[in-house]
Amino acid sequence: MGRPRWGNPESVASARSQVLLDIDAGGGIAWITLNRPEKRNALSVPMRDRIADLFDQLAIDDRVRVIVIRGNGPSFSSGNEINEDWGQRGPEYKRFTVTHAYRYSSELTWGRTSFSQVIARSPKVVITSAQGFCAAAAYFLLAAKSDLVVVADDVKIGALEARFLGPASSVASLNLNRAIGAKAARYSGYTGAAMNAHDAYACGFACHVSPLADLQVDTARIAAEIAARPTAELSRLKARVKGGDSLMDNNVPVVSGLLASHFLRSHSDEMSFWKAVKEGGVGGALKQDKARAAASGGVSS
Amino acid sequence: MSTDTTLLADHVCLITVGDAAALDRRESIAGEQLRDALLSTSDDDDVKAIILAGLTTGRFAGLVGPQDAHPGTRASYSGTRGLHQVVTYCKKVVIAEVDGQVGPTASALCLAADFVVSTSQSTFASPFSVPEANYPLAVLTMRANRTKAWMFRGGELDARSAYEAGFVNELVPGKSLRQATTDLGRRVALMPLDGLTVSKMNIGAAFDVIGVGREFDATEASVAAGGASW
Repeated sequence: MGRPRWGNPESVASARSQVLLDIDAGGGIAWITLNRPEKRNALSVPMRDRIADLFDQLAIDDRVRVIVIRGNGPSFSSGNEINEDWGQRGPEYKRFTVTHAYRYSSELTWGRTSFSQVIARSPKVVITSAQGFCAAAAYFLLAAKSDLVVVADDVKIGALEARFLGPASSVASLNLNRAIGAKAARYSGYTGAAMNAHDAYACGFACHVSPLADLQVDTARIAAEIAARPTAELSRLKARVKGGDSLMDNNVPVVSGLLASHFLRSHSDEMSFWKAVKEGGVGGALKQDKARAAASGGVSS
Repeated sequence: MSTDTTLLADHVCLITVGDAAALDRRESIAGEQLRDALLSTSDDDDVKAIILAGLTTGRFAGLVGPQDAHPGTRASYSGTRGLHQVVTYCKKVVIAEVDGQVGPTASALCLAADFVVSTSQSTFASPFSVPEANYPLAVLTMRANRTKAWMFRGGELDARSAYEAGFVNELVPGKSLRQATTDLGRRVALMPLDGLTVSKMNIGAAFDVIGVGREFDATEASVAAGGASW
């Protein structure tokens, strides 16, 4: 008997139009498009479920050799939706429990069938094409799990959630440490600062930087270049990456971060993010955080 | 043309590959000769640094793999005492000297070497068409995403890009290349022999911790199983 998936009726019903799939069968490329631009493509649980389902579907589609993930609108994605009840607490839960947190975080990151693992372990070559914000979960669970990252020159990539949600999962991600270097991963997590396009290219996170207007064309060119290689060769290379990642424990996810996130409380000196969200929405909370940082002489990204 | 070994300076040995293209053809004898030269030199107490030269081939015409069905060829390239593992776990410091177009096998050997000194007009073919190009070592050398981008996009990396990615240590003009590698060898030679030896032992152990050795073992098994499919 399957477990009911999380999500409210509206978010479940919207997921199909918020995550679009186009397959260019002749070219061997599948395009997954995040299509919730009014919310900077914030990922609800049903959207993440749909992405995972699409990856499962594409894994066994012989027409597809390359999967591109991109976002409609000014930003690739701001990360996980945080206006929905944190972790989509179901009506059966009277309070947050470790068991509840375990399910939420294992479905998000560390279960072998989770959202991020299905991307990291895909047998197809995965490219993220990002513009604007590529933040929080979109950074460390989506872009960082891709094989190649192509960015626009306006991109802002970072563990911005660390500003208010406690642990930045990026800090202890072996995968990310090996993608951008250990110091950069810690800087990213301990400051919440965003990488710009130059930083992302220089540290090795992005393989190509495009002017914003050229991002789609350049991504399509790179995807086509890879998809033109023989299927058997790509499959063999992906198998090597998968095997090598396994040997290096690259996909062993951070267990504690998301689990603990459910129980974090702000210090009395700190802004209570959730209280601020209740008062002014996410945008209001971010503005409040920025104002606090500016008032204290700090820099908020 | 066979592999040649000469003493270049005090404690610095030069091994010149006679025909690097033969390595891309996976000719058993070429792999064995280079491997044997490295093994005997690395066991010479008078040697601290080994310069590996003659690695360029001209335009790469594609790997030829059916010979891998022969156990001798597999042993000389993929085995524990095969060429790639001997360079990676060499007891002495290996400096790859590069001037020109580097084919995939020599690229994989550059990846395995401790240092790469290159002229600025050199190019490096993707090593990942060679089964022994070690993925964990590449990730450690040039980071994960750069490794995967080179892997999936294929093609040649120019010397400047290779330098910026951390694959090449030093870029020099062509006429200064031998001087630059010899100078680097001499700097290594100033180090105490036992210190260098223990450092090499330690880096070998570190490689094993992060999966380099296990990747080589997996490669040997897959080459033995797949043989001609490479």
